[in-house]
Amino acid sequence: MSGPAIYEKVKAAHILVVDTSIWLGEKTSVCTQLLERLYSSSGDLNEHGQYAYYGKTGG
Amino acid sequence: MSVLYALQHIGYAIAPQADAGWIGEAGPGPSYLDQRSGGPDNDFTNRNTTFMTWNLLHMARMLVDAGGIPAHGNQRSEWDAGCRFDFDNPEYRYRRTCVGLYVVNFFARDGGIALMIWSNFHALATTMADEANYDESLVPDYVLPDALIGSDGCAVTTGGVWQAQRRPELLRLFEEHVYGGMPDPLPETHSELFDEDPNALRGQALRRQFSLRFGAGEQVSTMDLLLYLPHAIQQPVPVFLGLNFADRNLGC
Repeated sequence: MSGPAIYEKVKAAHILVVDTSIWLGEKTSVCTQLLERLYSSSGDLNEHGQYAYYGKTGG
Repeated sequence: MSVLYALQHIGYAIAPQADAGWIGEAGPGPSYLDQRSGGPDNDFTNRNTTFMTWNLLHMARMLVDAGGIPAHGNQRSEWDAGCRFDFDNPEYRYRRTCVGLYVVNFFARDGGIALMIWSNFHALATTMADEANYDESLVPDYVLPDALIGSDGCAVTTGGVWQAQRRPELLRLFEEHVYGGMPDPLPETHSELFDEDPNALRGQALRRQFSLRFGAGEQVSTMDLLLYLPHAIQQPVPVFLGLNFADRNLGC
């Protein structure tokens, strides 16, 4: 998985839909890894000084 | 559910009913995209997916049209700079009442008053204050608030913030610590002209003196008001109000 390349798409997108299989009653480890990678960039700030994911919606 | 939790935690706005899923039959079986899984035919899944999609579109549209989440109270950069966005609990201070503001309001409404000298204020102030101190050497150390730093610690950087936030804050500080607030209800007010000189200030002004009475019975407060009206004025003019703690000086 090329993380930074996907992150560029996430930054450009207004909507992020995270899809996952249910495995052993939980989201998959790959999905967990995705969320952790998203979190690692959550300290970035936008031009207003807000966290970078502000103003986006997801589901 | 934990996906939505994670997304909101890092800053995403979660739309209403922003989840949809297909579980399938209990036990081993085809996945959603496998042929004859029944997933794409499941009305519950299709409905939830449709609602979710539209709600995401609506939410994204709203956010983009609004320019994102309003940038106030949520800026990490401002917090790090010392701004606290009203985090501190409001202080509950003893509010004095002062009839003085009412006097200004009362006379300014009529216009045409150029100068008012207000005497007997010393006695009035003494009755208002809990423990008035008139000895400069007894004033404890203090730091005046920065006029351009809001009470929330945020720097005032625009005229809009000054008008909407900082200016009212400063007026409130004066109200709480200096002049007091407007009495509510307003006391009964009477004024009586007791002196008039049309040739005051070497003939340049009309001088009038009023005796003002606020309240009634045992609650009454009185003060005298000295005002000069320039003869040359043709229309309402601003009022300068001076508080005089000593005798009136008719020659000023």
